[in-house]
Amino acid sequence: IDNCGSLYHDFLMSDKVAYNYFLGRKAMFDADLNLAEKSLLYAFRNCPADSMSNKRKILIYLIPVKMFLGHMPTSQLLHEYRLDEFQDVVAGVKDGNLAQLDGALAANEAFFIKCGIFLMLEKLRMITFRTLFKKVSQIVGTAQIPLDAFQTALRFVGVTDVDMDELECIIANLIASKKIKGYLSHQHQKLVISKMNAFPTLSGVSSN
Amino acid sequence: AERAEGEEDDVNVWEDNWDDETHESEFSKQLKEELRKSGHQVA
Repeated sequence: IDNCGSLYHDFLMSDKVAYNYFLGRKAMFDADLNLAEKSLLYAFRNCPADSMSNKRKILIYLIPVKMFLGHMPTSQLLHEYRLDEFQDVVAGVKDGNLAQLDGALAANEAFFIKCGIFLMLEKLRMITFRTLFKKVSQIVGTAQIPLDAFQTALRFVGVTDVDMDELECIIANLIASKKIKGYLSHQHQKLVISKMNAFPTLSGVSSN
Repeated sequence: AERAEGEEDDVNVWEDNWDDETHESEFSKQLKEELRKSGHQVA
């Protein structure tokens, strides 16, 4: 369909919306978030305002994709489309509160599995770790943060099954995916963060 | 007609500035207290 040139303009909008919906879903499962966002957003915007149930179906996939890219759905949007199952998920991710995120995922597990996005939402834990660690580093206020401080924060949010090795692994992954600018000192058990913008905004990271 | 990007007013749909620390949430305050209690340096 993408290679049909000017013919594309002759297609019915409803077909283009449906095409972009499925294209976006496929892209999401292929982890091509930028294509997923573009396609699902197109479908959402061009779906007639009176087809609430279709727009809702699009949103179920668009919301996790948007969240990964650092754009959080507003509470009004979720409520308007009867997607209140997402409210606590969004709140937990925004606050870096893993306990709240895990609780919300567990409470709405059946709904999210039925939608086929449970595993996708579980991956939001990575973003939530990033936000929690960002808060810890702001509270500590230095460029060298003892890993122990992160452990304290994890215990505080009820995560007790992460040992030091796993914590280093999580942080290493965040650094590798450019969500944290800095390096780990295994010897000193510290994370050393960049003095400038050590936790770039997620929307900035993903657009590069 | 096709709706292009940015055409719709997205103001009430997606929130981008959730990450700035101008407001301290209740969760952040509790986290700070917890770190202080555990003997960590608190700026």
